Parts: sequence; structure tokens; C-alpha cells
Amino acid sequence: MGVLPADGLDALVGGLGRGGADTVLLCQSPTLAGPPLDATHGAAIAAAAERIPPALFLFPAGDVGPELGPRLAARLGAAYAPAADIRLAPSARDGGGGPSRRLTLRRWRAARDAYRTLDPAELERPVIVTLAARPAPEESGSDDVEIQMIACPEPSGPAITELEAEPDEDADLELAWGLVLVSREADVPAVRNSVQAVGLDGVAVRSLDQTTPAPAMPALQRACPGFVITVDAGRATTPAAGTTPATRVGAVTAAAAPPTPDEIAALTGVDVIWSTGDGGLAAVAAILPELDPTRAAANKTSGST
Amino acid sequence: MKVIVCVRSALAPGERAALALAAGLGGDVKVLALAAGDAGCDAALRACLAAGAGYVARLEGDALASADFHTLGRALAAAVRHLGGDLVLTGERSIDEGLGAITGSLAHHLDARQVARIEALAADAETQPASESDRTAGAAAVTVIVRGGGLKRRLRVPLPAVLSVSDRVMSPSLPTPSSVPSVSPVEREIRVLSLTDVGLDPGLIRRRDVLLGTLELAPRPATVTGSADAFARALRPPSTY
Repeated sequence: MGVLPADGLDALVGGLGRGGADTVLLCQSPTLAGPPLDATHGAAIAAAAERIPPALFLFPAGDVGPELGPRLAARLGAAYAPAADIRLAPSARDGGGGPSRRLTLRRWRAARDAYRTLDPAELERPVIVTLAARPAPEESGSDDVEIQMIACPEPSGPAITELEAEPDEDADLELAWGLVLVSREADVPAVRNSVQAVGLDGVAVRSLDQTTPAPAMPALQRACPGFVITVDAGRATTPAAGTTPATRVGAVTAAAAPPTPDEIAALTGVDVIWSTGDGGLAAVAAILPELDPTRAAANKTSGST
Repeated sequence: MKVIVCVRSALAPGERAALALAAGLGGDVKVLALAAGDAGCDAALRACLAAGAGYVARLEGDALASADFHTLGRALAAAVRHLGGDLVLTGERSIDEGLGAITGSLAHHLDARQVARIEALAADAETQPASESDRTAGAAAVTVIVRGGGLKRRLRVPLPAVLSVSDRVMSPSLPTPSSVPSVSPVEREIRVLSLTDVGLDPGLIRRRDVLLGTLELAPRPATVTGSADAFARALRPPSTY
């Protein structure tokens, strides 16, 4: 949705096709040129859902889903699942050995104590989903896409207006699926270089100085549903107060002695503590590629053939 | 301007921040905290009084605490209409399920504009109504700051509106009772509204968690390892799709 020049439209539709779309519903209006707000985009989204009633309506990770998803769910009487992962399992329909797959959605509760699994096939209503940030899957579609135009409903009432905008210095956190927090600001460039060297997109690096104790720590709250690692030259440190429930949280300590039981108990929300001895940053850089689930899956496949 | 802050029995970070933002609006602003549920919400409401709410109300209903977001949004919208709010603030998400869906449902049932996850709030000086007729005509507005698409944007949002407040907003400096305008003993009472009071059929409110999906407890105790492989395995996100 929006206003695009013809070449921009071709690129957009082609990209959606290669990403797996068979049909693109296209809605063009000057009112869609601003930020994606319900007041401007909500009715158009609802029109799309009316044109092709969905079993699943997926919003990408980031800011759009939390803005538009819940109200769309309210309009449709649908379920809503934020920061959810799609899971595919063998389907009982063909005995579990055929190509059919059963799709479920899983998300962690905010309390981090349990997760919820939604089976759209068991609900007699659509499910609106905001996906958790993850590394992009490989493109498996084609450029052959059907385009359907839909009318753009005019917004009613006084408009929400944009007064000013400036770059968001934490924009990378919105779509990051991994985050490394290092204890010293001076170590940030070295870790960033390590991340870039192994070609990991979507892994942000910050210093603990930037994120603790306040006010920047909550900036991590919606970020990084993959992992957060703190690397502290001294004792292990917890970043978990600001992470999303699904985030796997690791604390690395390069202290000579492993953490004591009291120290472990104090690390609320940390899933795993790695006592590297004197390894520290270099040891973390070495394992970063192993944290990419798409690479891990590829390695597993190649190793089995 | 009358601001209604919707809260749960356990105040979430966004709800605390919403209270702080509402209390910080200053001027001729009345702040009311509203909860839906049983008496278990009262402690949170009293905390709201201490944090700057001028008065508090609870929509009574045992099943409201476990109602789905469609039902809860409808019930809260009825209460907001009954209480007459110009601006409704919610937290970004609750601290238990964390769906973050109430704002959308509430705005839908109020037929009001909504903006999710605001980080700052101010009365819009250019559009404050000079008279009651202006207010009725919806002339007032607020300005908010939101993030998205790589930008921090300042938006003017006409009222009535429903805004959720981001968990990013720190609210450690909630106003203390001594720093807020004095509140009369009568206003410090929790005003309890029945569903009938706000024009709802109590039979509509049912416990319903099918929309949440099945629950699987997953305790996450910390483990300690000296192995890089074990550390990576423990942190690796699931392969999806």
C-alpha cells in the first residue's frame, strides 16, 4: 500500500513474488504515503482481508504489526499473536510421511514462564500474526505474480498529521534478532567487526554502558527475539529485564572463577551462563555464526547428505 | 481534557509510564485510572492514586480478568463512554500474556483514532479547545512521539484517541502523592461500576481463552556451561518455516 512510481512497483511486486506471494493486492492512495497508522492504513488493510478472507494474516516483524494488527483483529473478530514463530510439522492427514505439513504458531508469554501454541485449523476464525524477527528465509517464489487492485477507503474525521521526523538511532534494534552487549564501550567496534566479518545481518551490538541502568535498557524490550548475550570481563551480567519473552538470554563471563550459586540466582531471566575463563570477546566472536538458525539448518542438511 | 489510563491488577511498565505521561500533561487535565475485574485490581488502583491519578474506578466483573481482548475492549469502551474520557492511555502490553491487543480493541469499540507504542505525550497547544463547544467538536489534540520505519516521528493526534504507551518509556520517577494536586477523601475512594451501570449485559462477559492457544509451561532455569557448543545450542533460535 502506498504511492510508488512504476519502476518501484515492479521491484516491490517482484520481490514479493520471489518471497513466495502468488497474488499481490495493490492499493494506491496519497493518504497511504505517511507512517502506517490505523487511521490511514487500517481501512485498506481491512479491505484486503475482505477481498481474500484470510486464515492467517501475517505482519512482518517491526513496528507495523503492533500498530495495525490488533485493530484488524478487532474488526475481524480474530485471534492475535504477537512476536510469533511459524512452525511446520508433519501432518496426520497423510500419515505423517507425506508432504503435508501442519502449521502452528508459537509465542512466549510476556511472563517468560510458558508459551502459547495456536493451531489456526482449530479456530473458527482468522489469526492475525506479527512475526518475530528472524533471519530472512531463502527466496523460493518467482516473479510470476498476479496483481489485483483494491479501492482505498478514504479516512474519515480529522487526520493524524506528522509534525516532524528524525532518524531513530535505535532503529536497528527494531528488526534485530540478536544482540550482543559488551561491558565496555571501547569493545563495541571490535564486536561489530566480528559480526560483520561472519556476515550476520540483524545482530546489533551495544555496550552495557549504553543500556544500563536506565533509560536505554527498555529500548531492548521488543528487540532481539533470537538471543541476547552479555559479555562482561568481570562477572556475568543480566540483560533480561529488557528482553522479549522469546529471547534466549546468555551471559558470558571472562572471570577466572565460574559464577557462584548466589550469582546465578541473581541473574534473573538468563537461560545460560558461559564461563569462558580468559576467552571473553574472542570466544563469543567465534560462536556467533552458530547462532544463525538458517545456517545451523543448512549445516545440518549438508552434514546428513 | 479528561485522560483515562487503563490498568491491570499488576501494573505493567507501559501502564506506569502511561500514568506518568498523563500526570505530566499539566494544565486543566483530569487523570482517571480505570481497571476491569474483581477487587484484586484495587491495589493497583491505589498505586495509581499515589502516582498522580486524580480518581480511580473499577469496572466490576469476576470474569473480566480472564476475558479475551475483544470482550475486555468492549467492556472498557463502555466504561470509558460512561466516564467521559477524551484521551485513553493503555500500556503497550500486559506483563502476563503480553498480547498488546487491548488498545486496538478499545479503539475499535470507541470508534476512536489510535496510535500504538507512543514514547512521549504533550497537549497540543495549537489545538486546545477554547470552549466546551470546541471540545465537543473534537478540536483538541495531543502530540506524541513514536518510532517506526527507521524514524522517530512527532505526530499530532486529534481527540478522542486511544494511545498505548511503550514499555521503552522509563517511569521510575512516578509522581509521589505529595507532588500531585491534593485529592479529596471522596475522590480517593475507588468508584466501582457494574456492567449494568455502563450499559452492558453481564451475560456477555465470559471466561474465554481459546484465542490465546494452548499453554505449555516452560520453566527456564539458568544453566552454567564451560562449553562454546553448549552455549550456542542453548541460545540458537528455532529454525522456523
